[in-house]
Amino acid sequence: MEGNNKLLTIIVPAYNVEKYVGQCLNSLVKQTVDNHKVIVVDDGSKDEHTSRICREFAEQYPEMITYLRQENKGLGAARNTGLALVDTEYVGFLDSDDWLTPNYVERVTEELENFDSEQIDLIFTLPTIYDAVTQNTFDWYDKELLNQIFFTENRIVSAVEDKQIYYLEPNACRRIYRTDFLRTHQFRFPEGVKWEDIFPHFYLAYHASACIGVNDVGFYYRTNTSGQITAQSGKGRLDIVKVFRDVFRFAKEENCDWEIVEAMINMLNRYAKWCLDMSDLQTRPELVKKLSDLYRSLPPEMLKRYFKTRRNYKKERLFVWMMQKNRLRLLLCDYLPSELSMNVVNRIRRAL
Amino acid sequence: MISLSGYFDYKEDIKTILVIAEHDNTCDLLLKLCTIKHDLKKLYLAGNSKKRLAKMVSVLKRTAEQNSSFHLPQITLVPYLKTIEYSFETPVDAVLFDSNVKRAAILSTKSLKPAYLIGKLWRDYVPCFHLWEEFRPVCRHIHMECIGKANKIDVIDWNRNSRNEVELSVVFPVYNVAKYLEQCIASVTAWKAPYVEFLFVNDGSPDHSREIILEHAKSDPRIKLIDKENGGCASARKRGMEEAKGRYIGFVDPDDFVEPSMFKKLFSRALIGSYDVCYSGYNAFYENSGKVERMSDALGDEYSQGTSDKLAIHKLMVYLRVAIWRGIYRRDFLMENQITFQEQIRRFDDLPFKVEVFAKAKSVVAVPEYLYYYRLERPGQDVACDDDRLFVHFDIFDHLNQEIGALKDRKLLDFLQLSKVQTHCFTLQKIQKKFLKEYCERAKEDLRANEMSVFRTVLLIAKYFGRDNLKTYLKIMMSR
Repeated sequence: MEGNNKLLTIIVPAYNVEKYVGQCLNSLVKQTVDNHKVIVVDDGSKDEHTSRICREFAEQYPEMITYLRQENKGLGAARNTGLALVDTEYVGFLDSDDWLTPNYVERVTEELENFDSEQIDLIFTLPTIYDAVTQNTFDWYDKELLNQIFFTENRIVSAVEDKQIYYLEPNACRRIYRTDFLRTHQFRFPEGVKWEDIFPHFYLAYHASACIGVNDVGFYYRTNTSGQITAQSGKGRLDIVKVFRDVFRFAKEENCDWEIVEAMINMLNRYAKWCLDMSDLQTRPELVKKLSDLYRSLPPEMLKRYFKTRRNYKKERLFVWMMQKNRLRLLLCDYLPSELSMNVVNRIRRAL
Repeated sequence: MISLSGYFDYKEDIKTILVIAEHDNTCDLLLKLCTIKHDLKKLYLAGNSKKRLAKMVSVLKRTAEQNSSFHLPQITLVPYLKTIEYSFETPVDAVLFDSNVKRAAILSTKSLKPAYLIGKLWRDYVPCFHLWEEFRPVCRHIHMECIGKANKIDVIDWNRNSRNEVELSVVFPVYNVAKYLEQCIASVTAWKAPYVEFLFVNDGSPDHSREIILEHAKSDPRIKLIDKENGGCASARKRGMEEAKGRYIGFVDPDDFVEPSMFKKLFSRALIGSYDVCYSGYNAFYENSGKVERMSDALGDEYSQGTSDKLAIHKLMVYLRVAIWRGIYRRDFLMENQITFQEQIRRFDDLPFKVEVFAKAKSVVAVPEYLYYYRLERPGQDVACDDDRLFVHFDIFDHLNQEIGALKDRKLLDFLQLSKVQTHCFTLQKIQKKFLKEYCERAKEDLRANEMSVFRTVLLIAKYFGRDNLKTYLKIMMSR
């Protein structure tokens, strides 16, 4: 098959990103080594320049870049479209408003050569956060954890040996996947929902038998861009409930170990709070109701067991408790979880 | 050490770098540079101690032998501070320095005309704004990480814009102010920086304001006059904003005057950290008595060190007095968020501007000094009105309900509500008795907008304001 001499394909779904996609594709064509292919899936962009920029890159680098356009179906579907065309051993994803470090492909190639005798299913890289307001860069949220998992004892780890893997950030772009590993498990990204990274995070970590980490390269994650405050606070937030229902159904079907369920609850709590904080006024009551239903559908002894080992997680416990109660949850429609603490309540009382 | 991660990525036009090596810790910088910058052709090392430079070179060579991914460019040593006399074989593309480097050493590299100036410095020891001013004519990109109080890092990230050379535009809406204009122009133009423009928008002024401006424009090319038909203060500011070319925009009312250093201080602070908004304190100047009174509000450490904390910025929607002229605003920020002036609102047009700015700004910094003089007791001043002209508040809040409401953010609506409470309480104190009843009725309706419940509003007032406002609020809500 043609193209098998290259190691890696990177799939870039693009939707209305004329401001950023140039920088993204530039970082792909200017890698220090040429050991990768790129598939750009234009997800029916409606702005002026996205399609043109992508097409121009594809014309200029025909060996490397494949460009295709489809009707708008969402991020998950666009990734799946690209995934079906991959003919290299490994595959990675990159969102079109982010960009890669120049030696990304070089380092990944090196690492895979180091473990030549083994079949590596997943590679975790370390992204960098770029704050567009202050122009500062920060390490990715879970740097410590990544180092602890992959750089203390064994360099090759599976989620059976080290359950900490489930606590890594679920972002799909920070991993590289073995194409055959994805195909054996008939993997597809969930389509038509936001938060398409969370279910694959658990599903793939559960099945992967060998993972490695690379802690000096990754993509740049752009945060705090101006002029798009409303972009993500709408109805899309509701999908989080659907996604976690799938996650817990998976746990039940596969009869997962307690540690995995623990990691799932942990992530649910984090994301539920964060989603509420970021959701807009019209969406919030519905989101609260749906989340509350989800919390009440979980077996009570499961949550009890979760908090048994977490005695000082007071805020988290308060939040889950409120969610389970019919009336108290209404408070969350009006107040953000991050505002709710005894401290705030007391201060208001004093002022009155 | 300066955090270079990512800065040199994909910058292919940097082939030759001069590193100022005054201190042993520069060695770490060199090691990092050679690890990340693989296409570097030539490296000049400038330093005051030959021994130290030789040591650094040997460290680099040793590392290159041990590590295959380490890229060792051709290295040449340059005598310290003699960079002017030294003849360089290849032009220097970038000058790089780390903290602990003296100002004189950096300045001595100006004659090399590097395209990039990249470095890190302590704000208290090296005046970074001065460096920026010096290098602005020669460099295309300036990237300096400035360490301030409590080790907070503010980045100057400046790229030359080929089309325009203006960094700051100051807009003056001019209408019947001939009497005060001389003093205003003199105080503003006292700062002689060439990269500033002063836009006087003559809003169809019937007096001889126009002639005064033209007279001054002859001797100072930075002064520009824009004529338009009378349309009110908001329309004049709006027009000025459209014509402004600067990276930042400031507004001055031409019947007021400023400290000569005001715009230098504001602009330099805004530039160091690329803040969206930078404001200072101001003085009330009582015309009849000549008394000057400092107006103090949010100038504490939280703001003077610069903040990008959302809540802290939202608080300014109510904690900062309405005074558009006390600050400068990043033009791109105003454009991206479509913040402008509403021509149909004939007075108090700076109230909606303030609310919108602090609802949408991502980073804000304050200069903790009192730099603007606000003239009071002038006949015909807007602030002094106490009749039905005050009903314009309801037009303003109608507009804001739409603008802020569209963002659907609970926190923002909370602060909008507080802003309403503040404005209405203040108005009720000064409005004439005969308008009181009608104002109360409309205020009541206004305070019910956005589905704000009485309960939540009371909690908010209790948290952010005092008892007086609470009483007035309840009075409004219980009036019939």
